[in-house]
Amino acid sequence: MLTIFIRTLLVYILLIVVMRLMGKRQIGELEVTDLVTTLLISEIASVPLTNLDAPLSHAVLPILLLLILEVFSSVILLRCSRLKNLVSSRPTVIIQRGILNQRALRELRISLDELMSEIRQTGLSDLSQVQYAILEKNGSLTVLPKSKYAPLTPDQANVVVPEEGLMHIVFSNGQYSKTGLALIGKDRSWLQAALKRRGLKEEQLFCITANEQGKLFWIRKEETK
Amino acid sequence: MKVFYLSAFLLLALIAAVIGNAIYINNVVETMLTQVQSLPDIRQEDCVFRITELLAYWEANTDRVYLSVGFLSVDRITEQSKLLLSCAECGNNCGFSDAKALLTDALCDIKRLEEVHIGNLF
Repeated sequence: MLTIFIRTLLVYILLIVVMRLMGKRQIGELEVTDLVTTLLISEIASVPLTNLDAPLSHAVLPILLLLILEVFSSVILLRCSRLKNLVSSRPTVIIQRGILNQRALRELRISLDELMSEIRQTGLSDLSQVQYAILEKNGSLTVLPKSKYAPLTPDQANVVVPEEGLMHIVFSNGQYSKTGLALIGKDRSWLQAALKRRGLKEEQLFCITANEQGKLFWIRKEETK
Repeated sequence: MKVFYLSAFLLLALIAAVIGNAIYINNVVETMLTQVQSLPDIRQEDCVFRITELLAYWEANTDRVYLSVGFLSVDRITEQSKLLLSCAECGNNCGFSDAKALLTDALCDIKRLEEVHIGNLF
């Protein structure tokens, strides 16, 4: 067990270093420490399932240790920015004020084709339309277009658009959702009254969504033959 | 922060359990090794009795050893101990020496797994 304890510790540190050196391309949506923990736990958890000669403790101990290391690293990294910069990467600006940073592209090992593909996915067709392109810590590319290629916003057009709150499910499967109603600041009697005003009956409805402004949207049940 | 303190407590508990287990395993193995090394000659009367004692001691600890040591390693010791006993009972001197050497080897293997040194870790 002592050997397993120290080995887990060593492999965890080694994997963090390796993942950090591999760069952002391999990370995906996770932080380096999260990825390493996920990678190791999934592998370790299968050991006692497939190897009946190994006691359960050979999986439980490393998993618990990884969990502890994950919590510790997240707390320490939150408080120590220097260490955070060392363990997790920082966002890298690939295009700044319309100028492509070729060195950054080389360092990140991103080909121009890949960059173009990412840019196209944001709705732009050419590098010349990009003002800023930033490779975020999680490996995703944020693309900000030049003003003349950016979509016109209501603010730029001096149009006042009222804020529409988020729609929440307030009724589904024949039941009122207390959580949904609470989120829009309404109650069951309000919804029942609103349905009555519209001449709707609960049993006819599949689901209802509503927002804070009292806007309702409903889907009727399909008729069963 | 509650999770952090819980993790810190868990880490301390884990370290204590690991060290405690290492001490326990080491203790059991050391006792067994001492008993095996001090086994009298096969011709002596108390040889069978001493091996029976050794086997009883091992079987009393097997369940706890199983918690942290691979089943194959534990079974190897049980098998060699039983072989040692049967060799002593039927007076097979050659088999007795072999079983004694293999038992010592199996015990040293378990002891080695609980030791912290470079060769063991890498």
